[in-house]
Amino acid sequence: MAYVGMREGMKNFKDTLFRKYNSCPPFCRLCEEACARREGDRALGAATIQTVDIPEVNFHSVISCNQCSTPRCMEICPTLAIVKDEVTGVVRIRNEQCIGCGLCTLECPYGGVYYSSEKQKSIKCDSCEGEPKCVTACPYGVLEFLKNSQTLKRLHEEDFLSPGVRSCAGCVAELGLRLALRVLGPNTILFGAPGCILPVILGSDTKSSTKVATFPCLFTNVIPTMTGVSRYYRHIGKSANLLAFVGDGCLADIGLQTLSGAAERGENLIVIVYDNEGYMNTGVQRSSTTPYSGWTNTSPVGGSYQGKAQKSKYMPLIMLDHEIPYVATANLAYLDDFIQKLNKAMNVKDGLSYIHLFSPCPVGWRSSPDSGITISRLAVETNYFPLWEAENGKVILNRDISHPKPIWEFTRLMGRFSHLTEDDLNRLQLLINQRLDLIKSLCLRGKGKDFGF
Amino acid sequence: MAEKHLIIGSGIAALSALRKIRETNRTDEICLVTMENHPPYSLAALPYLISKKIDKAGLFLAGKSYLDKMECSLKMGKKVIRIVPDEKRVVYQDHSRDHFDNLLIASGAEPMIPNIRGLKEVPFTGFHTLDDCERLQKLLADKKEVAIYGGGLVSLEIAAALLEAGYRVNIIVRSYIFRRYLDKKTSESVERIFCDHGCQIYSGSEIAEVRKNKDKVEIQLAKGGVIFADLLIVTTGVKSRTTFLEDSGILVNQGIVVDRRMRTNVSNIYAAGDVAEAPDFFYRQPGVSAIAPSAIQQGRIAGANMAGEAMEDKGWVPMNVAKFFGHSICSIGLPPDESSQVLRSEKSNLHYKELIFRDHKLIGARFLDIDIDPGVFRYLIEKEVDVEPFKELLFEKPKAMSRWLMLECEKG
Repeated sequence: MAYVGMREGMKNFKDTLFRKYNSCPPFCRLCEEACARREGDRALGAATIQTVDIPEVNFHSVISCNQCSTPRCMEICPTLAIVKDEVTGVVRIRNEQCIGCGLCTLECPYGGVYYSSEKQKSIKCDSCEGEPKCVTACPYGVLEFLKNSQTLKRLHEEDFLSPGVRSCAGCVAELGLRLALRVLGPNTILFGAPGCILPVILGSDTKSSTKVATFPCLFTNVIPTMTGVSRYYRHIGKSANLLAFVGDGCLADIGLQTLSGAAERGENLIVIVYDNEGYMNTGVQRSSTTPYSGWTNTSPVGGSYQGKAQKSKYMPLIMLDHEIPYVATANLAYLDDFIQKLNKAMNVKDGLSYIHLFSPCPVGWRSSPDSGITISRLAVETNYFPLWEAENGKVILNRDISHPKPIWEFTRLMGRFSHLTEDDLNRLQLLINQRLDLIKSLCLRGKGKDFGF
Repeated sequence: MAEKHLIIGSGIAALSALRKIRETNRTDEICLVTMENHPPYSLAALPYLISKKIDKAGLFLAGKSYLDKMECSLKMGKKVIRIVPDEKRVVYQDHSRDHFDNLLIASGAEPMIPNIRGLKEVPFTGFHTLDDCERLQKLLADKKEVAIYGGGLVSLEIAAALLEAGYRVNIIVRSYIFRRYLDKKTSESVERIFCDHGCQIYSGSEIAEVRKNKDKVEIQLAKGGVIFADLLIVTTGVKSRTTFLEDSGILVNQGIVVDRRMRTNVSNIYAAGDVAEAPDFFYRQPGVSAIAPSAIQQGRIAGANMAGEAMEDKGWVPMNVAKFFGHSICSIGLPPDESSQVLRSEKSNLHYKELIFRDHKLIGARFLDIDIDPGVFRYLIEKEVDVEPFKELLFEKPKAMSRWLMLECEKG
């Protein structure tokens, strides 16, 4: 069922006007003015993006239509004047049919539709046919028009994993592989290693669940094998996406040297490490990416043991220091972001690209099978797993969380953290903050000129 | 197994239920039955036909292509005269019958015409359906002066439309206009706006008798005084259309009594919209809420339950918005009483705001010509948002503060 749900969900990929919450300069009216001018009407009453300024509670933000998937304003309109474009998702008021009864303003709970007393009709945001004037007018980065629909266009129709894959219920890594193959397409050779992916998902004996060429390897020879195939392809004049989809045990621990070597040699490979923070397939043992205080069978809880005593190794930064063309972190709760990153990785032709994929494991993390995406999202919203990327060394934070949630909102969903005391949580929070500060400082470095690089 | 959902009525409650059933189920059979000879339309748009802001073609909500897309059949001109729950059957006026597995009664309301002596002898019309609307248009043809009996939203919408079209309008109202939504003082401000546009309003007046006097209607008021007009429009309110339910075993009080899942006392039979008497939001007291937002909400709940999804309504909140001559009224929630805390603006005249609180929550809001988002205030009331430390600020800056409170809740 998972892949049906995913395919249906993807239809809902629409371009979105993203408005950063409570991040405006006080009493700035630039977006409103640009919006009002769009119809040659300077009166602010005609703006369909509106600022909200309340100095008393230190709140300065913007509000506009959310382009709901089932718009209540559309349901109540007595003359069918409100329509939703099935392709772009934009909810529009057909001016000539609007009688100005105001029922839509009573029905919309989000302050997205307004009554214009000059026109005696309702007005709302129509995304300026895909080129919102407000976004161009905002110099503060509060507004952004996310072109998600174009991301979708780059996906292959076909699903390259067969239905009925044997992964555990709620496996997020499987979804990640499925999506990765749909982006990379049929001209891909997939390399796996022991762990969940090889015996469980890719298949055993002569059977495989994949519809692309698949090469089962071992921990320490995945990358050398890929190197060999890459050289051979170059020799016969063919090209393909060479994709390693392996776990943290394989490349963060046992096979790290081979990866480091290939990165240094500049091999043109795509490496995705799905990080479930432990050796999950062999019965939940700690790995170098298991977080501080996380329970596994070899970092137990009881007596003087309180889960893993050490903090986790942060692979993405290790790869960044190899100065390879592309490094990114990705997360299945942010599909559009992951798809864009896969595309960037695929377009790299002069070296290795590395994507570190966050992969909740219901078995090893002792979480509910239906919580994988929720956990993924909270990992980003608490800054436990920041989303960033570096193209040719230039680091960008893809999701700058303005109001991070406290770490307990993330840890409470998993049995592996159920023993955590207040002190443990504080220490974990501290480690997270330190790591985020480091990434943010690298972002500033990337700005080059400002810091004299 | 595919079931058959029969829906009596084709107003917005019926269409809302149709949409909800189809959202979860593509195989069941759905049939809309209406006694009118028109495709589905919304009553809320009818006054705008009078003011010619739309034409008749723009009125219809669901043409053949839409109903085909929803895989729904429509029977027009079929009036249900009897429901036999034991046999799961409805009987039409032409004695044909229909079977159902689930039945939604969304038959709406009909005008309540008071017993006035001589009414039958004079040109008059109620105003509720498209047929009424067309009758009125025909009657208006060569007329100049109209009397409207009633002071609710529909009466005033018609009055505004006629005034804009150049008619002379007299409104006769038993108490005062907008009594349901405004207090007396604010109502008087609204009255002044209408009078400035040439309207005559006779508040606190009841019609004792009407008679024909040459070409005119002579209206005799109970408290004394006579009004002459060419035509009388009676819009003194509506009552649920339930007469066909006698002997059906379905419990009817003011409307069809339903629970929070829109179920009647008879299994597999549901009711929604103007015909339903459902629990309200604040006190869980049953009552009829004859407004569009309630109809949509109740239709949605009924549809969900008919499709097998247990969904409960949180109860209806009285509310409305009205627009006339560039002015706007918005009223949501309860009027003030002894147990509530009220903040209201004193400089009455043309701008007025009133917020009604109980404990930490907002329970009512009324505005005259104040620029706010009605839906956001509705959100604060329906979500029972704790506004305690911000009551004064919310009153002072209603638009910005209501948005902020809503956004903070949504941020979750």
